[in-house]
Amino acid sequence: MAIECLVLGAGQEVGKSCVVVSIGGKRIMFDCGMHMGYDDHRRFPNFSLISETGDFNSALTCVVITHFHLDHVGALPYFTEVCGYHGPIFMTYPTKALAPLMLEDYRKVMVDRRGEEEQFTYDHIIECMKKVTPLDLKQTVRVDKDLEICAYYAGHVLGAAMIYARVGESSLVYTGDYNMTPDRHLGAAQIDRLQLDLLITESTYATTIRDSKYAREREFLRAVHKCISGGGKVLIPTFALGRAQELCILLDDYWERMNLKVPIYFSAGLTIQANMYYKMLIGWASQKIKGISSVRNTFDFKHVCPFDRSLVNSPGPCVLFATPGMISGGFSLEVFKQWAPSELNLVTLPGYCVAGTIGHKLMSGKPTKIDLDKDTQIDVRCQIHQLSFSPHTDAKGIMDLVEYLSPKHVILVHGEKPKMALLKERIQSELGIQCYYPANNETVLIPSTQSVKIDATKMFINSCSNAKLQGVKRSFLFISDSSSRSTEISKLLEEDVTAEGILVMEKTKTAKIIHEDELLHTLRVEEHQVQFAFCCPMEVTSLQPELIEAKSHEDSLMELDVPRSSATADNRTNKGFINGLVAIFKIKIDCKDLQIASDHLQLRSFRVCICSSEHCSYRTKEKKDISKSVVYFCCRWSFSDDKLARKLLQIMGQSDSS
Amino acid sequence: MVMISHISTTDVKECMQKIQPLKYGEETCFNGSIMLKAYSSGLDIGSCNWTINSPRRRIAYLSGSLFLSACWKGFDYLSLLGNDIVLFSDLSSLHSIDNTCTETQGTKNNNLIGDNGLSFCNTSAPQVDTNDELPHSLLENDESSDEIEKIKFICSCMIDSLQGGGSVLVPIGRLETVLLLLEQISKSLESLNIMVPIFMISSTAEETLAIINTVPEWLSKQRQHKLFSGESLFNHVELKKAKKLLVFTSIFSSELPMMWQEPCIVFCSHWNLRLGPVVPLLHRWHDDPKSLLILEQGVDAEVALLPFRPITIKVLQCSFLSGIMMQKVTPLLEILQPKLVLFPEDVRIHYPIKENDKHSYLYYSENVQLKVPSFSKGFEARLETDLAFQLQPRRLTQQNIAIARLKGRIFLSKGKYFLAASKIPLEFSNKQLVHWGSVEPTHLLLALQERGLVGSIHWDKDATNGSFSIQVSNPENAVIETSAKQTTISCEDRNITALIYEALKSVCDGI
Repeated sequence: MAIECLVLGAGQEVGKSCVVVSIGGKRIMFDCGMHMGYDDHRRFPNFSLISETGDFNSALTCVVITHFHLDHVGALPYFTEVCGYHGPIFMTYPTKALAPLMLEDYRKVMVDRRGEEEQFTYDHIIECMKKVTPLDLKQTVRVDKDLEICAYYAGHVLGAAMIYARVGESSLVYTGDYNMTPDRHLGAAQIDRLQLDLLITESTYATTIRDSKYAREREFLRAVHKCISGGGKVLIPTFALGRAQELCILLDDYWERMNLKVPIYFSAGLTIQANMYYKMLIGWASQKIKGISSVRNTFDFKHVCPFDRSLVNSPGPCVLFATPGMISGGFSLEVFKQWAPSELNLVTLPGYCVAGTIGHKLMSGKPTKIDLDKDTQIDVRCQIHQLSFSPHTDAKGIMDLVEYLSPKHVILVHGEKPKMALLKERIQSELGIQCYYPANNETVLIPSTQSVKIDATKMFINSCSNAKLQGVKRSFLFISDSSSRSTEISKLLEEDVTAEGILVMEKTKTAKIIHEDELLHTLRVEEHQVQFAFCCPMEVTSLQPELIEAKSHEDSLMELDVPRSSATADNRTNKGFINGLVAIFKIKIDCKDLQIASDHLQLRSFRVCICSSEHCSYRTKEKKDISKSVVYFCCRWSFSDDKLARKLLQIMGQSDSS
Repeated sequence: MVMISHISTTDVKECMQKIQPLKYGEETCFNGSIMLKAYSSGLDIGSCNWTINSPRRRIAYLSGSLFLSACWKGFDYLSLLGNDIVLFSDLSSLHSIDNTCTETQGTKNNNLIGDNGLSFCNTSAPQVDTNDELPHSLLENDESSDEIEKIKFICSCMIDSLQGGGSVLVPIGRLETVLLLLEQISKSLESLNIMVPIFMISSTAEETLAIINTVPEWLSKQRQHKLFSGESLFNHVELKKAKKLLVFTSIFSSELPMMWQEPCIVFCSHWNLRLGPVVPLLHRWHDDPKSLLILEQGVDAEVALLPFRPITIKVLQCSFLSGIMMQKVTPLLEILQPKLVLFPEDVRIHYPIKENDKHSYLYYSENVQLKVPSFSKGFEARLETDLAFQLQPRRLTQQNIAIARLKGRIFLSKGKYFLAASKIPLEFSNKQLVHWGSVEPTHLLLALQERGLVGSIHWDKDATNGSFSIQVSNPENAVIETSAKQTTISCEDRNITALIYEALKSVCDGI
């Protein structure tokens, strides 16, 4: 069976992330985002492709949201409250806490400020969030009998998670957005070395390699410091959550060190409230911040002052955080209108701005005038500083993750088409992993690992001794303290232990793998032995010369324990013939394992004895020249030693004719 | 009193470094074969029950568990479904409940402490008729509401003392009790407009309070709801901000005397009344009949208070649920449906072996090894499709059975054996092939003819077991001798022998 992957959003673009994956009869929707760049039907994923009838409850097993950004959760209230999906929804604790803030902020901006018809109401958001089951990291959650999901730390924003989903032996990881390097408040992504059929990864920076963040942070602080010491105002339009906190940690720390007194404001109540959430959810921040949290909570900012709207036009320098980040409307636009005309001021821009927003216009060249609408034009004389610390992984990080997880297939989403094409080539050529980057509304089929449950007997398991302990793989990505162990383990993983047995398949019963020795008992049958025999004639004379020679070597050969006291004359002659044969064999083969008794020889299953029965049925070859004295050696062997037996018989035949 | 510490701070730190922290429901693998998972038990923050799964055994290890907790995540018993064995490791609560339920103990305590109004909270929950209730509702009937009632009662006693001009001393025992008391008493004080300071004197209080407000994942649903509606998880954050709650690391903190005023409420360590700030404070208030000391169950009050005699301070001793209630064991087992239940020997009288019980019981004792039977003779394994496709099954003449030789790689992952195709092609070792059953002579003759071998059947007249031989005359001389248990093929030519063997294989079961 295959894994079917329907990309409803973020296919060859950034925005409205939404991937529906069918795996082992289960159907999971990963993320349910909205596109910030569109106002029409393209804003939401095309849900009708999931179910023509609109019965999403039977069409989907569950919805999993990776983080609180609108392009990942923005369409969720619409999907649950307007489209009527009532099935399970999962997201991490921080996402469940913070997503409603994002959604409500967005709804307000749309309705109150742009005067648009709302797609969902405040009550919709509240009702929607009630249906959400919160997830903790690394907690394996059984969605139903067959489907298990588990969230892993993704960095990016507080509560961002990569999602592992497994049905039987088929499994995949959907990364959402992630960051492979820690930032001021979050740790780097961490995931177990899982065995995956499919990895669906974001590829925002499919081709960019970024250097250290330090320099860029210093640049930002220098720009801000220069502006405020010149008496200017700094506008930092940001997402209310995440970037605001990260930059504020940076500033708060800098203010402390430089002993600055210029006020820092957070525009909306939203960000103040967000800070309270951040304080409670500090357990999801980086190790460093978590470590000191019981002494001082990093999100208790010392230099942040209470804000009032009248402060916008009050004289003197200040720093103001305002939403939304791309200056697409709302308070950041309001302040921008007032502050942009002064060259004293500074406006920072986020690393990524959707086309159509003011942020995007400012990024592309340095315009002096911006047309807001037909009647409004803004003079832009202020300084512009583009922030380039993105919470997304760069190309190296993506390659590292793909290599670390070594899935059987990779699907790229959340990126720009031409860059995705380049990354796809790299993944295929450098890592040898099949890679796809479907467009929106396209489906990719991936073959998946499957297995059948069987029983194994104790004897079979014991026979595969030294069974490899592959489960010992608690090595995490980029955790220094466990890296030493991970090399050891990867060595273990490479080794194979061979298992050999017999699979017994009985109708209506679970198939059973047994050791060969258990077969007859299991089937309740008695063995029917098959052996080969040949009564080989040899001339006595051909055995004579060696007889003497062999005697001198007798002691060096291993002897079987045979009663010597009963030795008769006949026996003695027979022993002579046997020794003669031994001598012949010794010339041709290594006789280390040859067992010799007075009346027979044995090498593995090949057994030779002197045949006294004149009517031996195995004398299929008669000696033609009956004048010569002939000894018959009756030989028996089993199939496994047939090759050996034929060689020995050949030796006997050759010696005879010579 | 001099206490000798057997461990140093370094010891503690080093020990903690060896610990691998886990989340509830996080899979961890020991030795490749044993999968361990922890699920909340509801007793305290982070307390857990374990599932221990190996390829042959599935065990649920149950410690003291509370179905619902006002603060912590409750007993997650549904995650323990599907285990063969349930091991009750801690049923001590059964005994303590038995004890506290008895009238005599209560009276005895009353006598002991004197006539200063000792109240005794009883932990016995209302009896529920098991026949009428579904197991789930029985298990989840609100045991925490009883606990809240107790907290409210204690608070009313505290208020009485404070209004009478006395102070309240609360030795810190269970964290949940402290947090709930703090929450309840601050509300009561506010509503009654009583202005008394609440002190918390403990070297770890500051940190504990900070941490407890940042771990929503480990808390009860109601607490988590506070997070989602933007409130603090516990109100001590606001109390501290409003300076209603004053936290000090030690009774000797320099700022304490400046803030000190009586009457007041003091939470401090240690509950055994032998260590920490509780000692001097009890010396201060032991003969103040207006003051109140709150003790938790588990302390022998008589012994604990001995050094502080004479005692006229009011003492309120209360017990809280500390494990599964007796009447919930059976319905719990009905849900978990284990094949075998392991009980400590000392509860045998409560859970005797009954004839027609769905589960069998075993009783274990301390320091005595108990052999626990395994429920599966074999191991569970997964055969991956890539290897399954390589199989060449052979249908047997009997019993609707097909068999196939299998050779591949085996590995153990997350407690399961996997059989998969080897990355390099494997040859079957040249082992003796196994044959069984008997050989039908005419079938064999036919099979030989199909391969161009001409022969005739000769019956062995002496033997009774249907022995026969086939003499092959063309293209080579050969003899095939067959009895019930054995066939011998004799032919000098190797290729002819191979043909004969092939013919034999086609008429005889084997692999």
